[in-house]
Amino acid sequence: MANILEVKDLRTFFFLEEGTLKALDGVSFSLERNKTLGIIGESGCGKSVTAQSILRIVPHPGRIMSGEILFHKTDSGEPVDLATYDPFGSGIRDIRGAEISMIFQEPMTSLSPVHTIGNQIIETILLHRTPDKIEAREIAIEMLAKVGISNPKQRIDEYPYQLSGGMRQRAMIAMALSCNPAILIADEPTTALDVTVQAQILELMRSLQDQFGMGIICITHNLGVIAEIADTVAVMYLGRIVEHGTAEEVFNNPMHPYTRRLLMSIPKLGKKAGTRLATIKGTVPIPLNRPPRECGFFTRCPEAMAGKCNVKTPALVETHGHSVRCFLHSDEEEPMVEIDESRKGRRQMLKETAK
Amino acid sequence: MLAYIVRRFLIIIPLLVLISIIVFIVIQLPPGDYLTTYISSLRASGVELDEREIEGLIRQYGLDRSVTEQYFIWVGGIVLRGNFGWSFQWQRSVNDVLASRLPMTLAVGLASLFFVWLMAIPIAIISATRQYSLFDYVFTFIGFIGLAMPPFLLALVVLWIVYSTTGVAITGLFSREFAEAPWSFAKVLDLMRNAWVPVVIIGIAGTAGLIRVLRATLLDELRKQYVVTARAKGLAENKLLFKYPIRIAMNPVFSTIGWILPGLISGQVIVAIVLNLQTVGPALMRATLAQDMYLAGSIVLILAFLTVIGTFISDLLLAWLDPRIRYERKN
Repeated sequence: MANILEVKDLRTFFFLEEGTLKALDGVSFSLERNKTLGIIGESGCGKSVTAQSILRIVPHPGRIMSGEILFHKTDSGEPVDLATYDPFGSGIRDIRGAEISMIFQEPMTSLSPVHTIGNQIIETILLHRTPDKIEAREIAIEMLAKVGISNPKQRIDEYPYQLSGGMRQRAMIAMALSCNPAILIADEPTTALDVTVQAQILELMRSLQDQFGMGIICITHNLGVIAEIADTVAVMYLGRIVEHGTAEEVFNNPMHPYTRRLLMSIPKLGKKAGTRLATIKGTVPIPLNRPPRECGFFTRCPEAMAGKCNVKTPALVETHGHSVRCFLHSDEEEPMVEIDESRKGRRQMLKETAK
Repeated sequence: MLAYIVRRFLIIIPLLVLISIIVFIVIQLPPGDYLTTYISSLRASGVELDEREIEGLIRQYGLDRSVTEQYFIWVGGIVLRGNFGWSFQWQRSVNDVLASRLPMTLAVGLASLFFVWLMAIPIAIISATRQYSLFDYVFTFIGFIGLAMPPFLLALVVLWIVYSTTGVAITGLFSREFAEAPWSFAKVLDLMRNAWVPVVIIGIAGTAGLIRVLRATLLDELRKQYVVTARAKGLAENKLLFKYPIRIAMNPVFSTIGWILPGLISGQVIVAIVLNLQTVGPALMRATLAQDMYLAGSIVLILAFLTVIGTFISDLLLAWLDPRIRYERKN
């Protein structure tokens, strides 16, 4: 199967007054057509910044410092590197919403409250597919029907506040898929919905994938969602992917201590009432002014080896059918990469982006 | 939508009745009346009036009737004949006194309003979209000066600067030769030449205030998720700004229309006095001091009426702006 997206060694930093926040510190993965990649991790591990980096909507003062985001528009042609695009230029705008689109966590706030859902869906279609307003409206109605909104001819003129949360998320999906994108990025698509609606939305995304054949990147901290929908899984921690493999491999044979503990923290039916859930001590540290060489999970890892995990960065190494970044499995170290964070370096980067 | 408009409009009528009653009560509240002031000023200048003369005056001004009767005579005149009563102080009808002042006040007020919008809206938009830029800092600084400086002081400063550099005293709305002249094209031109000073001075404080409010609202809106959604669609930055966050941030601009006019008139009395403007503000102040009750009452009533109309307009605009208001009571 051909890759439609390859992310290579992506680094996105935020330049704050307190220092440089390394939100992404060398992230690499690829996505195949018609497949779903699940990215999991706790809040603050860099999942959303990954999505924002691909679409080039990283909020100020964040910037992609190095790496490639190769997007294969067609199977045969040369890929384009999205990391080199001007984030405000027309090049990336032609891709956003048309070839790569995104749905968000909060269907309550991610649609404008003062415009009808039809207005907002038609806007996307008019931008990328057709200049004809009547045709765009027909496409929008068709899309609303496809995502399972009953009576779409009437619903298209309703405002978001007149729809339930699940319906809003369906409208959001209709908008994202209205231009037949090659990639759909779903950033916590079901977090704000109740459980029965969650299942419906996941089912919908799967059936739409069968219909449209788009690759999906599904970002979530909900392991149940990932088990339901993902073909491959990337576990992120502190701006790095720590474990990467097929969903089966990662769920049945987790190798990174972080992944294992994440899986242990899922409540299970049949578990004796009153027993405590396993938790991971502490929270994800803020990737601000961290030591240059360390395993990010060192501070919370019960299996950490002093003198090793706190002074060296493990590499993502393939063992037992999938990749893992941990000294328990391989002694290989991540090669050192120098990023010029000075003003000059940033200006240089900006110039390259402008090209 | 139509039901909403009709409902809002019908509320206006009882509101105006209530306002007229309150206005009349408030004006009757201070001890004494116009005649007390008038007689004591006559006494001070050495004229003694005997009982009969005083009683004659009381009857002449209708002050021997009860307060309720006075109220109904006043309101009846307004409703039936459009007659706002007699101004004791000017010895002319209130209609006559206000005929020249009210249009001028409205003109200066509306011009100030447009000046405020024209200045504040673009500045606030640029300030918010380029937060913490040089532009933002400069206009935040100027804005705080505008907020902190009393307008009459600003008026004095401008007067002095213009007078000391050009020798022209920019007081009043007309130059001397046009002040008493009948309306003509030249007089309109002269008005334009003179009116910018009060318009700008009265508008400055409002501009500064509106910049702060609009900048803050827009900053809130810019951080909302729907802006990111619009960006992720591939919309160009300027287009999405105007379609989504700016439209929603206009709410405070429209919702304050109602208060702006009375604010401009009552708040700027001192500016009008400093600049010698023939507007309603100074007339209201003098009428209140002299207990010229029909004039003062009429001015307050007209201001209240304009406020109510302004609020009605802003309700309509808000309903157009935000569907959530439009359908508020549908269910």
